[in-house]
Amino acid sequence: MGVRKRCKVWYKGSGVCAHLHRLTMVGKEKEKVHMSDDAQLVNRRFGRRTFLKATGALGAAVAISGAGNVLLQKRDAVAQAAAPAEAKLIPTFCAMCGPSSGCGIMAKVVDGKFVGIEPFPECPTNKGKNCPKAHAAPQWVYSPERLKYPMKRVGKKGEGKFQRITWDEAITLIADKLKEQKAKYGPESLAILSPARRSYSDYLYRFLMTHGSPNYGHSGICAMQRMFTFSYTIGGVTSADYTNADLIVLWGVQPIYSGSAKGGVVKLVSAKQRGAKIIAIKPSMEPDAAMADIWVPVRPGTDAALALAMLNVVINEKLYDAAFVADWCYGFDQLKDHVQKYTPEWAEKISGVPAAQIQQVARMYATTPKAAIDLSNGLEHCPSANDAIRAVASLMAITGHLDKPGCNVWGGTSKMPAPRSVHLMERYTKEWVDKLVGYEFPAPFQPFIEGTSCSLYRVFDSILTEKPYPIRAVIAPGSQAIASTRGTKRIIEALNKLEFFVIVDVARTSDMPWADVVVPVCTMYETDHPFETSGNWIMARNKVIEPLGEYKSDYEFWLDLGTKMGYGADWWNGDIKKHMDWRLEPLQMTYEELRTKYPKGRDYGGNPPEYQQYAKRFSAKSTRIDKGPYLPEGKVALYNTLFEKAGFNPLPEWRELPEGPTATPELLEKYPLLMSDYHTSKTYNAAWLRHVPYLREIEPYPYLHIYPDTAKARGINDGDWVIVESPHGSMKVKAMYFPGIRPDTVMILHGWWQGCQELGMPDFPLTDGGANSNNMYTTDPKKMFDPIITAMSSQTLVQVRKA
Amino acid sequence: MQLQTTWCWLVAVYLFLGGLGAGSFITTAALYLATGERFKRTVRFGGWAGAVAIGLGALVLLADVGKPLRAVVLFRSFVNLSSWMARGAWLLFAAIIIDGLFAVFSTEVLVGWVARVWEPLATRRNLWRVILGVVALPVNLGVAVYTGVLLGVLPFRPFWHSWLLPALFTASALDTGVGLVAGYVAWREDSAYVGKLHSALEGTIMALVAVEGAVLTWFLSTMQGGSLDAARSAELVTAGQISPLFWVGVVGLGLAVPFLVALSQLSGVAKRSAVIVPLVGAASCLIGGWMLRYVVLTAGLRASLSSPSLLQILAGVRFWP
Amino acid sequence: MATQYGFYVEVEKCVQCHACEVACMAKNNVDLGVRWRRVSSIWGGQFPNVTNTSISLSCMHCAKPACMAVCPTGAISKRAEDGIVVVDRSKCIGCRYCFFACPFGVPQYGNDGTMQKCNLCLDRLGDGKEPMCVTTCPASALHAGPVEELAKLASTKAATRLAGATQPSVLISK
Repeated sequence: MGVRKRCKVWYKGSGVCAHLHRLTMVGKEKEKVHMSDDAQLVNRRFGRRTFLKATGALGAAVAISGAGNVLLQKRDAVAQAAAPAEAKLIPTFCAMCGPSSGCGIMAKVVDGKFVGIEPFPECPTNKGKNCPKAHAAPQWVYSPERLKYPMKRVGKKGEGKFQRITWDEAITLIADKLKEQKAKYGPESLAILSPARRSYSDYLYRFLMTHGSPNYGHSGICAMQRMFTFSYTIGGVTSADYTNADLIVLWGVQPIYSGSAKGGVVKLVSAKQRGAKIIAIKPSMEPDAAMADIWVPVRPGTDAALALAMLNVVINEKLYDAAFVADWCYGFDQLKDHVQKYTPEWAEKISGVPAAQIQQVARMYATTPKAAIDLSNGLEHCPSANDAIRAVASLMAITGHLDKPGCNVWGGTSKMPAPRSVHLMERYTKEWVDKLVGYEFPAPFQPFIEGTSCSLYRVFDSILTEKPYPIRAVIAPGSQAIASTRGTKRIIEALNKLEFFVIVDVARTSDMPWADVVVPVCTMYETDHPFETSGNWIMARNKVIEPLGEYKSDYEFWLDLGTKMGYGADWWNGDIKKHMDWRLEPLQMTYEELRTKYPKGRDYGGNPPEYQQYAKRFSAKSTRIDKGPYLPEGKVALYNTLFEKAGFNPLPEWRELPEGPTATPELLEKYPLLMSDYHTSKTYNAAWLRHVPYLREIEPYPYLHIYPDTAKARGINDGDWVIVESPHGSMKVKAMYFPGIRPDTVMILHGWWQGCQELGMPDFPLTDGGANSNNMYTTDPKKMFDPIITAMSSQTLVQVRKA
Repeated sequence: MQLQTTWCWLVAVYLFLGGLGAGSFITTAALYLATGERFKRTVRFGGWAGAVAIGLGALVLLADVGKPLRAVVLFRSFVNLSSWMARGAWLLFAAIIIDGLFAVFSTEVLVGWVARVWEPLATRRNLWRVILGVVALPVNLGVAVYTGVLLGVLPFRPFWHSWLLPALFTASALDTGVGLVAGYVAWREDSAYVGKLHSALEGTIMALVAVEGAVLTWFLSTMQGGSLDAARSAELVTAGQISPLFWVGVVGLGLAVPFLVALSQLSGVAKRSAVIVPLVGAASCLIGGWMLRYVVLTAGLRASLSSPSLLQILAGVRFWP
Repeated sequence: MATQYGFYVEVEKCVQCHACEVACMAKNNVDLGVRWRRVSSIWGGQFPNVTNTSISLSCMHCAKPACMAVCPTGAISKRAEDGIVVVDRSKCIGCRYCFFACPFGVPQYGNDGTMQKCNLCLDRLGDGKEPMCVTTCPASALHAGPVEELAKLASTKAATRLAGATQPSVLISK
């Protein structure tokens, strides 16, 4: 091109033009001025701007190199606003927590661009409220980290060099490889990693079923762990009745960050305003604990000791509901004898909670008729996870706090006919379970409610150990093992060895450099299916914008792949419309009818909750092959005969951490502090969303929460970069003075790997010296697991020093 | 503790240059009014020093603001005359013009060009200079005082909120102004009476340093004994993070060295012919003057508000990064 | 002036979720590095008797805005009809004097160098809607409107108007 044109291109492309324009801009700034997204790698000090930065967003830290520029080219500079154009408002669902029952939003679209959200009060999930993530959605949708077209690897594994291919080529590539491996190694050589619970999770199970593999790799650190334990202790999963409780115990739960708009906040705040007492049991004072009347600062991973001691107090002080125990509990006498050794004084040494406080909390809970316990992920990450949850469930039971108003309830049923499930649970057989490459729950207890599960960690384990057989292909939809599961170095080793690795996602992930095929899929703003349900309400999803690249939805991916594999009979031959209609058949309408007849959803209403339905609750049938009940005695399993038969302890006990103050006191000299990590945070989801600028600004760095005196003793100031070292790995993170934490404990959010291009923040190293807490914990299989539910330990001993 | 960084070293340069220009011009105008043509070189230098320093200061100010091309249109951008920033802008403008004209009339070459424009301008240039000199005194004094008042009127920056601050800045302006002129005199003035002028100037420096030192002491002790916030800022300066800059830069280079150099000149300890000594003194005085502005700016923390919890609320707001 | 609009923050309901901050950023297309509304966490006490509260604050829309008094260009003005303090960014020269005058550190400066801050979502008020922060707060801890009405709403709690010589139009409860 000629010189003049070249100059023009440079002039426009560099920041010069934009900068001069900004300097002399007059008159139009009252309107929203859309600063071009490019070139914002600027010094953030007030008034100090680095002029003439070239359109730097692309030049910034891009972790994946390579031919064929895998990342999206920055969209053309957004138009300087003249008069704001008309905005369209589209009722649909937020997708920032991933495709799952999302909060309702009215998506604002201007000139075909998604620009923001307005409230959607008719959606019962969130009733017009939204959390910060929902508002930052446009930045996520248009992020330079989005995947825009399918790719196949052309360099070495781990290099991240890709070449663009078409959707059909990708499907064919994957199908051919899977067919080849199925013939050579058997279909069980395929494993699919579990994302967080998604509305497409059952499609993953369906694919495995139609393919012939039982290997679903559920994380092993969330939800299922406690659901399994509750099911086998009290017959099912309950929810804490915040609305009617006089006392609410928050135990290892994060009701504010886990779906803040979804009602957790409203429930907590209303209860508090109503005068309910709140007790928070967790190692650090997050805002929910700040609202509590009593904060029980338990050492991470020692909740079992605490719960067992509480049982001791309640039983010995005869604060239990004798009638309920006699009628509905099995094994009380054995439990009573068993907990004698778990005194509050014993528990104080292990958990760090003063014996007096243990007694106080136990007594308060037992003697308050309307008392509920909200227990969650904080208890699901240690070798005694199952024991802890069993003990808490037993506590709920013997104090008569089950299925009563203000307690832990099963809730009412919905009047809505259930849409068809795509899961093929009816096809499970014993041979199927026996084929598993690993067991998230012991074989006799599989499949659990989601299906058979080998656990995510064991997928990678098998690749390395080749026992009982190696997994040869892994598909990872919405999942990144490097950032989310233990033993990052082992995961990388396994990925280097893994024959075939497919990633199905919307944006770059930490695992991507090891992928053989990368398949982008729609964010849920770019697709018009599936429907969303919330309690008794259902609504069709509406598309906000057209897909930004060459891809389809997750659902279409599985339909296409299933059909290409030759399983079309089970996959509607790839016809997504037919499929969605099939799912809605029980509601006697097609998907389009749902969309057009009920543009803001249809509420079927629910049946009022029934209470004290113990016969029903305790006879619930399990999803095992034998379909027997969870509770063979038809009563609460204080003493668990099923576990006993399978070779496990019928009573909950205390199991030490792999490294801890009472577990390995010999390590305390070198590693004096106990470290654990948070699962949830204000503006992120696990290891996701660090690259969204508005969200990154709220929590820009991996902060190590450390008690001020503990830091000062090490010469560490608030905001200093520090090195955290455990016997297994190290991190370099930022110290944050945090008065609300145990002085002997430090905690950090897990999942830090990603940078943010728009803010000029680079990725962190994935292993030592990065900010990935998964590097810090043991991978010794004898120490890291809960024996029954595979819960993996996230506690270790560390030393912290200034970097 | 977080230091004040929104107005940083560039603004310190601007305040310093404003003061320096004003001080050197006042010195020069006074000199001219007192001695007329006797010290032609110095008067010419001082005139330009005033105009250029203030002009440079204005440019530095423009470089610091967010919209320099808008700011430069004074009659649009400095209209709210109850704001000291607006008043100061006009004062600067006036000072640059007056000082500049004076300097033009003091420069032979330029007088020649002026003559070609309009003869009486050139022939009556002494008269014009007298008028300009008289008018310039309050205007430049205004500039010097304004650099302090700008900060001094802010009630929520307790460290600045005192009449002692403009007093301090004015003393410093005069001090640095005389220092600059004295340096030039030692270096370049070739009048027969240069010795007397040199002594007078050095004597003035000693007096001004003493005054400035006194005002500085008064200012800091007032702050130290004042509200918690004022004391906090004063502590930062005298014993905290900024204290090395304060003691070495402001006190050492800005006060002690010029004083000692002036003393050495007056007492004859240093040889008159060693020009380097007064030049070093001048340079040191100037550096100290800039340091003073920088230290005062950096220590100007916002007041914490009434209730203790609110204090924490607003002090604890983190500006990221 | 007809009425004075302001905010009422129910501090004990604030859960530090930061929805108000990001909602404001997103709705107003705020430049990166600038936050018109900020949630702050306040600690007290020593382990184990620690307290923590949080509050969400943006511009106070003071009755006597210090920023307006010192602005050399007159870019900052206080609307007669509702007392909302607004900045005309086409006039602002980015001198940052307002930042120093404001007792609350509200003024911030964007990529174009001019001052920007909360304007109580003027455009939404015009449509009869509440500011975005108020609308989205999951705990309904934020309220906006004429100060007299907010005072009535707050009368059931020990709410006080923030103290200060500039007379901020913000009530907080505790």
